[in-house]
Amino acid sequence: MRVLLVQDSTGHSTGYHVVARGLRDAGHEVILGGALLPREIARLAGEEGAEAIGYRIMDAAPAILVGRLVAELGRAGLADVPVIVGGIVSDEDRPRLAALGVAGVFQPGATLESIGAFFGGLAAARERRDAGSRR
Amino acid sequence: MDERERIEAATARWAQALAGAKPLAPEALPCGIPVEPLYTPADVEGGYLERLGVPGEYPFTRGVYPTMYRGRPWTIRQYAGFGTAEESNRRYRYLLEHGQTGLSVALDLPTQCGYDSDDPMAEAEVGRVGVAIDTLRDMEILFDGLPLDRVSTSFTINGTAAILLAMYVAVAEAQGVAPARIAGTIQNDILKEYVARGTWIFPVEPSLRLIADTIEFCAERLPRFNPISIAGAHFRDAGGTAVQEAAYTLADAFAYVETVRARGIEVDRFAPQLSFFFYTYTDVFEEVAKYRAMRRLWARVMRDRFGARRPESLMFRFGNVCGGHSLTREEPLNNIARVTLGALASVLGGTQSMFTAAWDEAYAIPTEESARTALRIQQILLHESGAARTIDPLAGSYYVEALTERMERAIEAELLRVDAQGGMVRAVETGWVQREIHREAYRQERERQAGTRVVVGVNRFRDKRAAPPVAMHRADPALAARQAARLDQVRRTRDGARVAQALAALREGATGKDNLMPLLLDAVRACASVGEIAGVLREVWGVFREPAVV
Repeated sequence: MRVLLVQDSTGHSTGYHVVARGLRDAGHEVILGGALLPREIARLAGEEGAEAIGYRIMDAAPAILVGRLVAELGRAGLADVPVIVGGIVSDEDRPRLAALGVAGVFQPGATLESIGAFFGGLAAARERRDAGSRR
Repeated sequence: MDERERIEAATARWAQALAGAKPLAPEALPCGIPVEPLYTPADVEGGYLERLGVPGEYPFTRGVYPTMYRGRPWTIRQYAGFGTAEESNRRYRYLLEHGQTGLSVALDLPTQCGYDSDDPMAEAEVGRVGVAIDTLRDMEILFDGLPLDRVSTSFTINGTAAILLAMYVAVAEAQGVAPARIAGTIQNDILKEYVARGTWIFPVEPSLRLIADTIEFCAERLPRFNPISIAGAHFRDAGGTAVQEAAYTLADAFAYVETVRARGIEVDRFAPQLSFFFYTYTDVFEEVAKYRAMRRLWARVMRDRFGARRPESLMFRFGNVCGGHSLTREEPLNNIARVTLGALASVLGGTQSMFTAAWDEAYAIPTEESARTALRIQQILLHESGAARTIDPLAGSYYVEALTERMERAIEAELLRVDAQGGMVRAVETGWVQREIHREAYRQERERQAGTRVVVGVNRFRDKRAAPPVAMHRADPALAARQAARLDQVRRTRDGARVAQALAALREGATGKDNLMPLLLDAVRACASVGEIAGVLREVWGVFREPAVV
């Protein structure tokens, strides 16, 4: 699937780049958006026809940023594009992200295999849904 | 048979005896340099005086100073800073009371990227990964009660380094300390920001100009201040090998030397104030060889390529950090052992100043207790381990000397690859360096996940029942508002006309060629903010556009 990878800030991006290569090797198409504000992420997702958004969040309060991104995606008519968060997410923030409709959260220790498989699952679900809507 | 032949014969006998048993598996350093199971005098090149010499003399392999830690221990400099200037000031006083010997200021991302605390770009980041500095007022509070002629301070600051340097000078003036007496370092190494750390603001050319301005200013006015700390640490922590870390750092350094020389300034006027900064991970001998090889290489290149003559210009002075990517979130107390090994390697490698990360820094800002334990690692090393008792104690080890040679050659080979890209500035602009590092980071991660690169407690000997740790340091949710309120108060009470005038002069100066430091000093003295000053420079110079690198 076409995955747009973005991050909240430019530094400490080793994981971001490693995941980008991992997803590519797992057969996904990866678009690197770099460090963007939520509004810019939604715009780029629309322009690039992204089928999923991987959002690396390092320092900032993730629920604030994800809340904004979800709102911007809704405004852009992209509410069905799943958002997956990567980074350190505190126990308090996990339910907040879940309530915002985040499809998945990957923390340090997650394997490339598990991340690739998760996106593979999203791609399969998307295909089933598309096939269903064609019937 | 001379002695060398007899040694070689004995080694051959030893190898033959082994051949009957299970052969020893080949091993290599994490950077890829192969390691033999045994080293003998036959592996060491002769020429003691040319290759090693005595400490404080060319080629400085054994250390930059004649007496090293016998004369003065390395500086214990723990990276700290969070929240507002008051909170950070309290932490600095705490660390100094507990035996720290120098300050190292962590700044929040808005300050590093040139935004004020009330800027929409700063939201959710104010005071989080470091202290928020908007105006001179914050800087005065940060150093309240800390006389600047008595402490040395290192600032991890790059894009806005010149502004922070101007503020530090202004604080010294306000304390009645002559600028010539202040000591410290600004990181101020923009090339590695583009590759690995990410707090760049302006395009390459004006950024290099700003760096050259600070180097020139320090050479003239601040003889005890390092205007740059050329940092390999971030290449390393982004996934680069020890060889890449060393080579790209030296390549950056050579680019800065060329930039300043192009102004017609003689190398010996500024080279003595150049300093370096690296990560030390846990592979002790790789790290020791890295530092010894870099000292020798730097001295040779500075002398032969750049014509430096003063011994101080040839001295490779470096600080280091232990921790970073070598730490794990799993079983985090294991990190104390990892940091201790790195710290030992740094001392055996001849560091000038060190930061030992706290065990919880893999996932949080350290607590007071974990910060104290991190500090204690260095004190135990200094006072209990005996590692600092004699200078360069591993010299003459067949292994360490052979490895130092191998490391030096590997770094030189990587430097040639950079040259083939058209030099470091070009290699950064095209994204070549970024790609090299990302490829290596990916390779290492796959090795970790496959278990071929062992990380204890993570992919080997993992205790599956251990609960993942929770962050203990809590960010203060009211902090951004408090900081914005102080900025607002400064804006209302300062002389607005003076600020406008200083910023206008800066705008004019930025289009010209003269050194910007005097104009930056005027601006910070008038209490112009970091965001206002960076904003003016952004208007004139534009911003860097990251090359898309997959």
